[in-house]
Amino acid sequence: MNKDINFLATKTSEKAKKKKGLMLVKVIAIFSLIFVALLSVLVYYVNGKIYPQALRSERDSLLRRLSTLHNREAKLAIVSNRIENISELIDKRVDYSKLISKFFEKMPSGIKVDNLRLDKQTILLTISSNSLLPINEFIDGLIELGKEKEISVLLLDSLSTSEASSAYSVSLTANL
Amino acid sequence: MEKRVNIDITILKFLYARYKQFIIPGVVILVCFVLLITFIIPQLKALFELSTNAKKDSNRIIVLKNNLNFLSSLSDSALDSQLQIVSTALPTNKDFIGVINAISYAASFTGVSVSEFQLQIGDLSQAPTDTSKFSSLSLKLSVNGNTNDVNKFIEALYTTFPLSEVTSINIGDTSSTVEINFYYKPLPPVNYNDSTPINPIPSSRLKRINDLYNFNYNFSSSSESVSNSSNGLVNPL
Repeated sequence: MNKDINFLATKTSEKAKKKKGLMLVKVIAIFSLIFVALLSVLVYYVNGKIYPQALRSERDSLLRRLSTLHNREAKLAIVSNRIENISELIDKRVDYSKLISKFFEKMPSGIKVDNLRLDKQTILLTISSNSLLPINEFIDGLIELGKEKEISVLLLDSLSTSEASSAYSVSLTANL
Repeated sequence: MEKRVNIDITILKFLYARYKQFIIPGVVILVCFVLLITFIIPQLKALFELSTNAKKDSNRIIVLKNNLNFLSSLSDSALDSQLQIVSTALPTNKDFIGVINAISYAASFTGVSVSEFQLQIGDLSQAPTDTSKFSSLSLKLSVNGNTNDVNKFIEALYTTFPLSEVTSINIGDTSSTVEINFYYKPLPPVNYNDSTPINPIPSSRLKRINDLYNFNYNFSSSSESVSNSSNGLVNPL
């Protein structure tokens, strides 16, 4: 059995313990306050450094000035779009007038064009002449056009002679 | 067995008297903790996002400055002139008056006569909506003239607005048939995006616009004869 029980001593120790605890809580409270205050200032400072107000002001000012030029921007966008389309159109269309001119350049005198049909892929030509020589010369000319890659295939569809008009008639097909 | 704690006012008073010195520091700690959790930690997290946004905005400002300088350097009159010529070359809808003007001009320029023509205008009530492909007005013309005249007529049409393409030619002894497509295309919607750099029109395309000034056109699409010389339009390029 413990005989050294001293009630007065226990009371003093409890008071000291409470005082110590209170001190600790006060210190923690002060440190918490300082910590939170410092962290807040730090966040505010870093915030201002990372994304300065000047940057935002400059951005807003530029956006305001650009908004007055939207009309010009729209016009430019339309012109760019249209000219792209126009270029595409001009580049893809076949200039038949040049092709027909090339055909006629190769045509010697004495040949009459009875019919010329032309579409995106083929040219059907019916010519007539009193002599076979100019027809031969013309076909030689068309073969040259083939070498120049103007036409890819040249077919002689028919060669006939008419007793009434004493003329030779030739039908040709050329693929483009 | 259920244990019940009986807290009455005397105990509360006793506890208050015993721990009242702890209340203020305790509340301060609690408030600090709440501030830390609800404000400061989210702010710290937001800093990373802010840093990314700041970088983006810095780049955006460079783009905005370049766009502003570029747009400011453009001339309104030159843009209007270019806009007018490209819109006449490739209309946004069925410009049948322009088509008739073009045929009239090409015929009078080359000395051929157009005896009859079929123009398929289609439904005028419905505006074209597909901005990705070209639409066209198909036309079949009977042209009176010799082979050379018809050829010149086609050549003239190729350098007349609105832009057209001959799809079929049938040249006979005295009269010929020509099938032509006159093109039009609706404009795509213009979207403003401030973060995208505005690119100038490439020089090859500017050259193309320059070439268009040598074409035959009539901006008013009226019944007057079609001629670029009468417009008094100055090539801004």
